This record gives sequence, C-alpha cells and structure tokens, in this order.
Amino acid sequence: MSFPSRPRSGSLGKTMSTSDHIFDENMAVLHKMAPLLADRVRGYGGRPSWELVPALNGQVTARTVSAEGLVRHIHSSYDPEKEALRWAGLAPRDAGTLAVLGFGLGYHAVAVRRVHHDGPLVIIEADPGLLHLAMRSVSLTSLLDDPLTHLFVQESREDIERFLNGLNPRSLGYLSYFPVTDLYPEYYQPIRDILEKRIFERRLQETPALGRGIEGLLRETMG
Amino acid sequence: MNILVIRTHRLGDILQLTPMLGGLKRRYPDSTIYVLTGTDYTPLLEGNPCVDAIIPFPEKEYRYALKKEPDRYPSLFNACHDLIGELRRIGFDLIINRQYEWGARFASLVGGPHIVGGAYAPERGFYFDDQPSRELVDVVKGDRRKNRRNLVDWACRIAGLPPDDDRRMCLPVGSTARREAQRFIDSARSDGERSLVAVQAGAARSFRQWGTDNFAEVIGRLINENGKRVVLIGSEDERDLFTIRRNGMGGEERNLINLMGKTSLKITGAVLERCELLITGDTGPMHMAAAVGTPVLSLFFGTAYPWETGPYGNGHFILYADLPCAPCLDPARCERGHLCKAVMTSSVVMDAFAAFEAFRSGGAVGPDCVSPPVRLLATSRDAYGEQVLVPAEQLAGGVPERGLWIDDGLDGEYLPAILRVRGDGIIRSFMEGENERGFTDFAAYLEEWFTLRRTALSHGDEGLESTEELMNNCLEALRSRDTVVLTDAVEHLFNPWLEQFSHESCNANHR
Repeated sequence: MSFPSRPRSGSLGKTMSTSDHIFDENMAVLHKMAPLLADRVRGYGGRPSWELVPALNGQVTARTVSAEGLVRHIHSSYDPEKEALRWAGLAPRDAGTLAVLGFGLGYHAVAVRRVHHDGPLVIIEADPGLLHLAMRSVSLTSLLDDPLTHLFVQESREDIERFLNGLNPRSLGYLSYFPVTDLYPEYYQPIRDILEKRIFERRLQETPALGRGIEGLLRETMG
Repeated sequence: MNILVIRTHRLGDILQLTPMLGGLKRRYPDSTIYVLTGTDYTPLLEGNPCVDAIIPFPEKEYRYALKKEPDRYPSLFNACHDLIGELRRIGFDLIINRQYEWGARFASLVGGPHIVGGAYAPERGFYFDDQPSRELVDVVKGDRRKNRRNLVDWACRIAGLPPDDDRRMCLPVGSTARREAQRFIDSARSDGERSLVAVQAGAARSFRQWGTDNFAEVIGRLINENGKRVVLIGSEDERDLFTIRRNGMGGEERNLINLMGKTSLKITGAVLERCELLITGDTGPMHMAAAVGTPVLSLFFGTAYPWETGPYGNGHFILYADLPCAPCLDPARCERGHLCKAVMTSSVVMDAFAAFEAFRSGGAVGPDCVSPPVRLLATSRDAYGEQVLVPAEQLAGGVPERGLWIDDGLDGEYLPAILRVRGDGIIRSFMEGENERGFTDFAAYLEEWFTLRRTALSHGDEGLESTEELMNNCLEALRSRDTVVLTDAVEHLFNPWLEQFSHESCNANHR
C-alpha cells in the first residue's frame, strides 16, 4: 500500500505562463457584455501578486506569497473543477438570484452557473489583479456571455447594495468562496452583512411561522 | 429509519445518553442516528459506533453573539434556518429531545411524526406527548425522593427502549489521547510503581463544590498514608479555584500530578482510564470515568441526588449526605448551615476509600464504615437491567465492569472510520468558512496520522513511510492557513489511503 503522489506546488513547484489566445477570447465576450469592465481589465497595470501553478489534472491554480513567505492557494492543486462543483453544491436550493463572493480564477462561478443555471448570478470580486489573471488563464466565455451574469470587481458596497435593491428581493441567496474572500475580509464582510440582512428579512416575510419559531429558539438560546 | 437525538450542553448529560444510543442501535440496527450537540462536546461522541452523524451546534457562540453582537442576529437566524432546512430534508422518524424547552422548540421546527422528551407548539407551549417524560416530570417536580431511577434509564424509557442488561456508557478516547495521557503522567517524574487515583476537585456549580481544604487533606492522605499518586484533573476555569497546598506533603509532593486545564476531553478520558479510581463530586468527569470503565467514589451533597445522576454502571461508590432536607432545590437559602457538606469530612471520605480498596481486592465492605446521616451506596443493576443503589456492604467484592470498550488499535476499523469522518468534517468547515475550527480539527487529525504512521512502522508496515513529507507539508500549510492545500490533502491523499486500508482490512477479515 502506498500513497498517491502529491503535485508539487508552492515554493516547490513550477509556475505557468498565461495564454494570449484565452485572454483575447475572454476579452471579446467581456467587451460585448460589460465594455467598461473590459476596459478596466485591459488597462490593468497593478503589480502582479499572484502566480499560476499547474494542477495535477492539467488545469491551473493560483497562489500568493505573503511578505512573511506564507503561501496561500486559491484552488485545488489536484482538480480545481471537481472542487468547484462540490462547492457549488452548497448553493442554497431556494435561491432565484445567487451572489457569489470571490471569483478567483472563475472555476467556482462556472460551476455555480452549471448548477444554478436559470437565475441571475451576481459575482463579486475584490481584486482586479485576480480577474486579470483569470481572463488570461481560464476560458470563461460561456459564463461571461450569459446575460444573467453580473460581474462586480472592486465595486463599492454602496454600488453593490444599489444593484441588489434593484433585483427581485425574493429568493436571494449567496455563497462565499472563502479561500478568496478570506484574503480581503474588510471588503467582503460588509457585503456579506447586507446579504444576510436581506435574506433574513425575506425569510421572515415569506415563512412567518417558521421565522417566529426560529426567533423563539434564539430567545431560548440566549437563556 | 432516521433518528435525531438533541442535547447540546453539559458534558455529563451528553455522556448519560450513550447507553440510550447503544440501545437504539441494538433495537434499530439499520437506523441512522444523528446527534445534535454543542460544538465543544463533539469529541465525546466522536468514534461512538452507535452514532452515525454528529451535528455540531455552536451554542456558546450563539449565546455570546446574541448578547454582545446584535448586528450578527440576521446571520445567526439564517444559519439556524439553514440547519433546520437541512434537517427537514433528511426527515426524521423519531426525535428524542433531551433538552427540555430549547430542544422542544428545535425538534418541533424540524418536525417529525414522533417527538419524545418534550415538544413545542405556539398554541400549547412546551408539552410532553410521551408517558415516560410525563412520569419523570411528575416525579422531579413532586417528591424527588420517590425517584429511584437514574436519568440514563429514564432516557432509555423515553426513547421507548425495552429493559436491557447491556446498557453501558461509552467514551472512545483514541490512541493519540492515550499516548498523550501517558506522556503527561510520565513527565511528572512521580513514583511509577504507585497506582493512580484521580481527583476532580472543582464542579461547574459552586454549591456542588466540596472545598479545597477538604480535598487537600484527602489528597495528602492518599499520597502519604496510602502510597498513591494523585492526578488532579479539571478545566482551565477551575485551575484558579483549586490551588493545592502542598504543605505537609514532605518529599511526596512529586506524586501529585496537576493536569488541571492541560488536557482535552479525550485526553482527560484517557487519563481517567489509567486510574484505579476517581474521587469527585457530581461532575462531568464522574460520568467520563464511568464511561471509560474507571470506578468512581463520588460525593453527593444536598442538591445532587444519586439515584438520578449517580455514576452509571456496576461497582461505583457514592457517599450521600442523606438529610431530610435533601435533595434541595435552593442551596443559596439553606437554613442548616450546609450541613450536607459539614457531615462529609475528609475522614468520612478516607473511610469510604478504604472500603473501596477492600471491595476492589475481593473483600467485604464493613456495615459501619460510615455513620448516618452519611450513607455509602454502591451502584448495581436490577432484574430489568436498570441501575439501583444498594448499601455498599451488600456488594460482593470484585472489579467493576468496564464501559463499552472500543479497540481502536491499528488492526481495528475504528481509527480509519473516525479519520474519514473527521476529514469530511474538516473539508466542510473550510467550505463553510469555519476556518478556525477547521485548523484546530486538522491539527488533531494530523496528530492521529503521525500516530498511525509510527504504529504502522513499528509493526513493519511501510505503507505510510512515504507520508512524512506530506505531513510536514501539511504542517506548513497549517502555518500559512492555506485551507486549499489542507482540503486537497484530506481529499486526494488521506482519504484514498483510508479507503484502501478499509478495503484491505475488510478482505483480510473475510479471509
């Protein structure tokens, strides 16, 4: 009996280069659907804080290294797609509109779109550098080409709240991709608070008996 | 058949459910048993072969946040809503509520055809649908002295279980905890040839505490007059409460091993497992000792009633201050100067200890070893398998039975199974953003793997030899807080090995 081999990553592994071909295809679609965002991505000139690393299944993952030399990956080094599909399985079943916090290289948003294919998908990413890297390394055309996909990159909490207010308030749900959102807690936490509040209010309205029951339970918990 | 058992807090109360869990599994072998319990208490049930799924509920975090962080109310509400939704989707044929009104509300929100132990409806409030629960409430609210049934047996009745002579407590401690317990004890440099007696001096509620001076005297006599080593156990909170005075112990103080606040639940269980006796009040560790098969000498004062909450299993000793005012409900208003504690002197406890020693070595307990109003009782079973208390002198000598014993060595299937469950829990924690929990659990998980590896190599099995680098990489990922690498390690490296191990183990059994 022996252990399967482990892909070498982090300081041990080799990095990957990006593809102009993928970038051009992604940008063409993004330009069609969200020209202002496409311009921002094309003009992105931030210092790269991410590097791509090959995953065992041939896809790519990305890692960042902190000033202290600590390495953090944002997708599986084995099978990013499988990981994303499992995560997408956490999507709330009753959600009509689904917000995804943390885009990363996009695997998770693509997987959520596959699972949650018929409603608006609101994707929120704090780091334009990450989106830039995703556009260069992962084919996202089907996701970006979908008119129900709304991509927000580094938008303010107020702008996102305004957008959410314009949506049908019924059956809003959200998912956080924590390997990404944990890197920018000060950006994502206020957005998460807004979403939680809206979901709470909607649930109280839609299922008042259950809502009262849970409120009673919480009172009892407090003692 | 899906069964949900609800009990989120108090260590002893959770352990007291384990005989019921065993009974449920024996009665419904194909059932899936879920236990909703407090996040801090999940180690008590981890590895229990009668529990199919543990649902952790962060009750302490809820209580704190509800009081101190009102902004979090919507997210707490939503988390509860999600949990209840998930449980509704599973669907339960039977819900056993062992947490009165909170459990009743929770059970009723989950819903099901059969809720026992208390249910709730907005129009009715809290109510009992089952006869055993009504009987229990009647007896507790009426004259508690009429109750002669232990809460373990009440729980079994409430669950609808028939009489059963195989009701045993269960606390699987695991090989890592055993090794750590050994390390703690060895590091004390005490006299290794002396046998170990554990003492739990604190108690969660002040009126159940006997007093540090009393315990200090007993400890001194155990060490100096009886040639024992004493292991002090207890929680971090109790450490300040009980600063043992070592005066008068002379050179023997090295035989006092203070582990208060140093050991996890599992390691405490493993420490207790190594002791010949635990001396304590009516505390959670009392039930832990009973669950790992270590005899108990427990001290029951006014508020505690040994017929209800005494240590479960044969051959435990109980000193009970049997006063007319006991069991009392309001110790703060005691008009008798807490006589129930005053009569329980250290000499009485040492007399009971001598009786225990005599019993353990096959001798008889003398009828006058303690004087009224203190009684020395011993635990035994009646013809229906329920616990009874008898005067200690009526017991024949012998060694108390062990609790449900689980062989969790490398050759058993216990450790791979528990690692699989833990691994899945770790992945889920990271996916749901419960990173702190995930990191803590992963550190413990990795420790088990190091143990497994050492054991495998010592048995000449080199299958895990290649894992050292992997484990070191995991330690590095823990330092980086890289949840992705840790998730990968569980899913793509550890889990496949466990599957292979289980498969080979299964084949070996069939051969």
